[in-house]
Amino acid sequence: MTLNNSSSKIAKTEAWPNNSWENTSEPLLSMQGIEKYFGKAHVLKGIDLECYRGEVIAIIGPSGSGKSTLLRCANLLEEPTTGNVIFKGKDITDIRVDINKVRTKMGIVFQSYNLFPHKKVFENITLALRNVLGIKKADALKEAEFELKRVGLGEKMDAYPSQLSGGQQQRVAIARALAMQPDMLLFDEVTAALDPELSGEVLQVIRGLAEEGSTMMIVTHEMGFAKEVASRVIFMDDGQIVEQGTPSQIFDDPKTSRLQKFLSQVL
Amino acid sequence: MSSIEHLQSPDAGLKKRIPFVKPTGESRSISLTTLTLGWASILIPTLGSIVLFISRGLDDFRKIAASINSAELWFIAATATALGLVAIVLGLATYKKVDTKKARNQSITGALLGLQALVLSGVIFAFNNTDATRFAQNFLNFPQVINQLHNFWSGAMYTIILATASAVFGLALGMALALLAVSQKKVLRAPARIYVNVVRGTPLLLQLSLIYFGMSLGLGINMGVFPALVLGLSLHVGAYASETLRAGLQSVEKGQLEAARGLGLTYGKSMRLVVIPQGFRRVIPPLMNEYIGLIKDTSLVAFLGVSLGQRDLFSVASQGYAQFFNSTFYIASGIAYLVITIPLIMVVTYLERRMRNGR
Ligand SMILES: Nc1ncnc2c1ncn2[C@@H]1O[C@H](COP(=O)(O)OP(=O)(O)O)[C@@H](O)[C@H]1O
Ligand SMILES: [Mg+2]
Repeated sequence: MTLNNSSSKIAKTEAWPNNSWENTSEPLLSMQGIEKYFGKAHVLKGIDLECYRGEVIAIIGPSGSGKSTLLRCANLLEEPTTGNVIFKGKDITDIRVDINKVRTKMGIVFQSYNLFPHKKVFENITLALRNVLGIKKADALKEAEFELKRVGLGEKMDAYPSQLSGGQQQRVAIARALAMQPDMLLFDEVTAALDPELSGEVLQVIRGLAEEGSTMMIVTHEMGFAKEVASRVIFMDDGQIVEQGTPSQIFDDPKTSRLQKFLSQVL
Repeated sequence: MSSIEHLQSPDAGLKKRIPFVKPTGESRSISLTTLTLGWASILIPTLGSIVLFISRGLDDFRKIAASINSAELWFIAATATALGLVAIVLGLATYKKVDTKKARNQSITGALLGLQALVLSGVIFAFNNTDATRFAQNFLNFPQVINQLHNFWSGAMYTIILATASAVFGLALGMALALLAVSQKKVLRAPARIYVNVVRGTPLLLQLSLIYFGMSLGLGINMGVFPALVLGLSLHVGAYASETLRAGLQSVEKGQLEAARGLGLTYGKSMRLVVIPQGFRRVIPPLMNEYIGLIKDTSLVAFLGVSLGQRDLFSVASQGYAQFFNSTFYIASGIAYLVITIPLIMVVTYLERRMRNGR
């Protein structure tokens, strides 16, 4: 709720173990000069963005400003027209990189949950564990159970997605992403389809992840949540990063007129 | 009108209620009578004819002709006509006056059954009025057919095996083509498109002829009749199945593939584990319809002049006809096709209804 705990997020960076490849001063994810065209539409106009371990970056901005596209360019669900994405020190836009391996380390959660409706809740989680990571059935099951308990849905293992509320489905989607043990998580307006009561339970889960020190990029329209949970806020407009800073810099002391106008409209 | 008056003036409404309600109560019992008459008018000619024909005997076409021309049948049709007319008149007279939905439905149903009875009686009268001997000799001449029942049995088996084998290979081909058709790469989509359009744009009989004769005469490949037919039918039905499957795959929300790819699954695994199971399930009814169509399309092999050992249901009928000049063979094969297809059609209807109601 308060702003003062946001700075502690950055401090948590040091708590992460050093991997051999990794120089702690290096960002976990670095997007460099990202441009994206859809046909003639120029959707991303040169984005430079770095995300360090333990950071929680909230991306805000008007609808159509390219937030989703930026997030999807991070794990190459959308291929940038130009620019590089460096993840864990490796340029993943190099076509020789196995992008599927990269994606196991960069979980993404969508606005529309996108659970697999023909699979039970636990199968939604074990599917990639078994078929991507090659984890044994019993271990995958244990992992699914653990992650479901983590998001407060331990008793829903055998349900089908259609039997769950929107909030529960979204929490399963988060558990599905968490089960892969990713280095970072991407959230794209994960509460936009939920009414306030149900979005609360989802936000609570993300809040918990932030407290555990997870690295996250969160596209959100919930300004209060961004303020509370983010260590850094990025304001996007018209395919560009217009302004970024700590939550208090962005929300209490916006510099650009575009951000001021945006905030006056949403707050 | 009376309800408006009723609202405006309670006293006037009270007075009006008595003549208004009274015929309604009567009409309600008339509605039930209408329904009963409607059912009677349709059941009497159907059941009556069946009883009449069976009691007079079906083993000789002359007996059947006598039944058709009998006074009893005329009487049955006349009774049905009379009952049907009464049901229609009563139904039309009451359906607007009754005060419950149930009674109105009874009136309407009764009148509609009466109408159907009139049509049925008309057909019966038409047959009853003409000399039915020739008709019965040609179309209802069962003894020769019954002598060949074992041929119908083996013909039905051959038809089912031919259709099922072709359906299995056709489905595999169709899935392969559908996967090409939903590819991002034009160089993969194009061959699938061309193949499907060529097959859809030419007659099946032409395709079968080209494969059946072209293989042996043109290419000197002697693969046997059955494999050639399965090949031809598979290539044909595969094109149609691919269109159905493509529609199914494309009906799966884009987010499903994205979620799978986002978890690190390859495109192939995403399709196999996530998209295909969902897309396939949705098109099971139309695929079954294509299977039903295939069962009927196997009849075209009769035109390829296949040998005695490999006769499908229709070949059995046409060869029976050629031997005895008795069209009853065709009637019998039609019935045999229905025995096979109607249960499948019912399954399709059931599945479609279940899918419409969610799940
Ligand atoms: N697959 C696509 N094809 C064409 N245009 C797209 C596609 N995805 C997004 N866009 C366009 O790109 C712009 C930015 O979209 P998006 O990244 O979804 O914005 P945001 O998430 O900020 O609302 C929009 O104008 C949208 O119409
Ligand atoms: Mg968006």
